Amino acid sequence: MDAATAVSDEQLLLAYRDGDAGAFDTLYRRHKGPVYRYMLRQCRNAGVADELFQDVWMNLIRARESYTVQAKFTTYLYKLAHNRLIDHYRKHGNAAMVSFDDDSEDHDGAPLIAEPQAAPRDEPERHLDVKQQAAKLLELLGALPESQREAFVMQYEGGMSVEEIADATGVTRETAKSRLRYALAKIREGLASWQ
Amino acid sequence: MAMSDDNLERDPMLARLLAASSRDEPPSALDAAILAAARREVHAGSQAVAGGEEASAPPVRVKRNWYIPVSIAAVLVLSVSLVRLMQEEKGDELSQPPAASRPLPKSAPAPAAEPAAASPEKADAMLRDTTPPKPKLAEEKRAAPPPAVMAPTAPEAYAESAKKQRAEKTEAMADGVTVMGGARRDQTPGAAGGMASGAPAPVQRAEPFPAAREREAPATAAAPPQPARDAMETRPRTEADRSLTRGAVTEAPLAAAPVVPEAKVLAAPRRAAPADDALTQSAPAQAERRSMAGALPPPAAKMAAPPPAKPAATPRPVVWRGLEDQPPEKWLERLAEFRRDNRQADADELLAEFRRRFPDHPAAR
Repeated sequence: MDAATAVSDEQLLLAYRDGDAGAFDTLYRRHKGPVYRYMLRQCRNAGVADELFQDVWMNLIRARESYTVQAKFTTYLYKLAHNRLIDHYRKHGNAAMVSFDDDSEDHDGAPLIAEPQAAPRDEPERHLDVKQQAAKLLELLGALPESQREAFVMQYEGGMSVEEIADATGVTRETAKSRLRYALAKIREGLASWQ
Repeated sequence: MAMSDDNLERDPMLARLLAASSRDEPPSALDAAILAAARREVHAGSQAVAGGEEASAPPVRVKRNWYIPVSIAAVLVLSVSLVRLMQEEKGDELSQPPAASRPLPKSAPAPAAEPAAASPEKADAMLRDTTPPKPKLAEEKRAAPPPAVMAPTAPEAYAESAKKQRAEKTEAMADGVTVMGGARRDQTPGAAGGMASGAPAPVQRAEPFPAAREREAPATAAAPPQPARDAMETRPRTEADRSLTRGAVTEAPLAAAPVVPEAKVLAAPRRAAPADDALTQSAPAQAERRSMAGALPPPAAKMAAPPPAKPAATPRPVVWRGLEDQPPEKWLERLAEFRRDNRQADADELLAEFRRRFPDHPAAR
């Protein structure tokens, strides 16, 4: 672990707040890819993703003076991204927002799909082309509702826990968990046919 | 079988697939723009913190830019207001003499002040006989003039006086002068006196008859007949002087104010005095005064001595009836009689006439 990764995100942002421009560079390099992909997955338009991505970081730069360590930096960063995305949705209509509020599938407990079996995945003879699987994953991901896709991306791109996802998206932990569960179930079900 | 929280943990295979599916990154230009913005913000913040004085210089300069016009405007406003104030004060000083020469509404002239301008001797006499007017007013109010009580003199005298009154009235009418009748004296003397304003005409005299006048004589010593008539005789000159001199103006209200209740003349001061004289004089005296006024040039006499409210139809007895051609000793004898009879008003009036007729007599001093 190098010196750059030794310093936490929170410390880097505090250093930037105090005038260390290099700290922001480090922080940006760490999170620019996941945040960009989050935006890209959600709005599914590179140009819009660029704009929203830039806005998120500019908001972070402007808000540095008032930043205090109250939560994990990734939670703070993705909350900014989520709010900016919501603003984008509101600006361009509420159609996309519907999926964020569509938790009709959220009836806790009952499995919608069978739990994926580990054995088939581990069988070497059933290895498929990774690229094909990756393309299928993107296809499945795009088919998810916004809220479920967001939860999935936050977990797999941002490395956030269920609690952090709930905090960043402004929902309860159970809601975040349910969204994540449904997303995983649909993706595994879709990938099962390839396995 | 329900999914447990463990199944919600990050799946390595999905993470690997996701990583293999797309490694999308923001454009390098976007990276550069964001990093530049971050440095710019840090640089601006450090400048604002470190260069506090430099950063505050523009606002100070802006404030100073306000100081100059504001101060100039304040100086201009003060200067203009000061100049205007001085001009107004000068204007007041210049306009005061004409304003003072204007007739004082509802204030009678100071008959005591006018003799002072006429002659020192008469002024002295006037000052000796001057008494406060308020008792006079009270006396006047108390004096409801019963005609039956007022006639101390003989009926013959009344007849003679009536003749003179009629003659005087005729003369006045010939001059275009409105004569105020004794019974009507309390109606509209202001109109006859040339009132400029349309104010309701006040009562010129409360009592129409000499008797009432004589009863209040002790209290009306403030306006002795002699100085008043002298002032009347010299009125054209003194009025002109008074209108031109500011000092007379300042004195006039002081001297005239006490006389206001008695005279109640709304006309100009120069008009009020004759009215007062007319009321305080007997018919012969008025005739005499009328003859003296007639000696003046007609325009001057009319302008300077406007028509006084004349007593009139009712003959007015005088206390010195029959003494006109008598020596001073006779006058003094009658005066003594009045004193004995406790007729103070008659005595005072007789004394005033005596002083007028015999100013050099030791008793008149």
